[in-house]
Amino acid sequence: MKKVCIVQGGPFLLGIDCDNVIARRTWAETAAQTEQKGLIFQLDALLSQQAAQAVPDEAVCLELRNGEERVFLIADRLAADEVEMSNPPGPLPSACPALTARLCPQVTIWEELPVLLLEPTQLVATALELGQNIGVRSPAKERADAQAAVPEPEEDDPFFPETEEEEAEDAPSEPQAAMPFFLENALAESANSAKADEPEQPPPGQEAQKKESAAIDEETFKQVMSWTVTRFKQSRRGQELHLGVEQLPSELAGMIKRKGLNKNVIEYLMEQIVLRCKETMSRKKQGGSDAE
Amino acid sequence: MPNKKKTSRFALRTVLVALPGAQLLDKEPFFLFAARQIEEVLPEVKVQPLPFAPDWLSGLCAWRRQVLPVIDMVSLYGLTCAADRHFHMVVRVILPAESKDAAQEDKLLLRCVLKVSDRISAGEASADCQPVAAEQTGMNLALIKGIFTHENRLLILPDLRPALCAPAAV
Repeated sequence: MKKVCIVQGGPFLLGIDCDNVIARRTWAETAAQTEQKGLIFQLDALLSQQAAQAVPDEAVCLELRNGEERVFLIADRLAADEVEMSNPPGPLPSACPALTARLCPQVTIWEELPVLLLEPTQLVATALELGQNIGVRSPAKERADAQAAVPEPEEDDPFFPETEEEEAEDAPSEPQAAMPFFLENALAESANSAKADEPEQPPPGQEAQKKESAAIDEETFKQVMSWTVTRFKQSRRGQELHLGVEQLPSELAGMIKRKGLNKNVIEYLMEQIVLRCKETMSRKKQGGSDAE
Repeated sequence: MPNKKKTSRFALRTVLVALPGAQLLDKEPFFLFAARQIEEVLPEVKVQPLPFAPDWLSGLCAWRRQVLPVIDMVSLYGLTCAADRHFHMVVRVILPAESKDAAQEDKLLLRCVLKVSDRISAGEASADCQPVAAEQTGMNLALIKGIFTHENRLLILPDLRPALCAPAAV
């Protein structure tokens, strides 16, 4: 008999097959793990089609299997755990919306209440369909929150000079907000892997220049990333995208110049971001066709 | 052999559900059901909300170990109702089966729970009802089998099949 973990998010009650639950923690414990990998969904917000809200520390956060990857699901509380279902699960009534039936294809009864059984592999597809980052906590925001908890950098820190922080505050946040979350997620990965790749795989002929060039700071990285993703989204499917520093908006190009950043390194970064975007797109496409 | 006379008389028994405070074509509207459609009237049910559902689909409830959709009739038909209390009626709806195999069952039985006002009364269909063109009411025609007037009442025969089969189409 299947064991189910039952969580509540807002008015919604959801059952999750215990085999899919890797860990149960509080949000405070999960948030403290800066190395967490995987998208974070907020159950209540996702199901009521709202943007993710602030999460109380005591909220439950389940780490779930999502195929080979993992995702995090924040719920208000764990209503019951390891519940053996005496009622065999059945399909949702045909009156239910298709999106509900996709995310929760089965329903069972627990304590005289219908409990929808979540299919974790459909979380990403559902969030994609809803769009606008509904119910998804942005990895960028998690990083920002984590940084906010870190003590203020000293004034002479070359990576976070005070002037740049002011610039970041003034910078429009609209492109970041409009970015589809899966791209944002891919880029969050890129942010780590592209940075990590840099010393191992320097672009040809750049090794000597790189030594002289200043390191890319967080702010520049984010702005280049945001601009590149926007360009990627604007490009036609299948079209080869060649991006160069000269195509950057004058403000961003000026900032790069002022900071003495190497043109080739920036272009290499753009190239890496485009590659990650393409990978993500093809992965999502593959996932979508598999689901069908 | 079934008693034809008895069956016919049974078919005429009806259940009327009032919509207090509502007016439609200057008459008092009622939902009209065949009595045999109604399986149970529940004063209270625990309704579990359903994500991504339209307003008229209040959620799901458990009834006799079955999970049934709960439909808010006022919302589904775009009407108003000033009822203080609501009851829930378990209703069955017969659908033609999709299977083309004649050997198999040619009908499908679905159940749902209707949230209605507590003004429910049993009666018999009157022979002097007058049909009304449903278009005049401005309601979704797909959800109506027929509309009749009887004295100062407007009797609406709901057709729940579109709501139970393809909610997106409603």
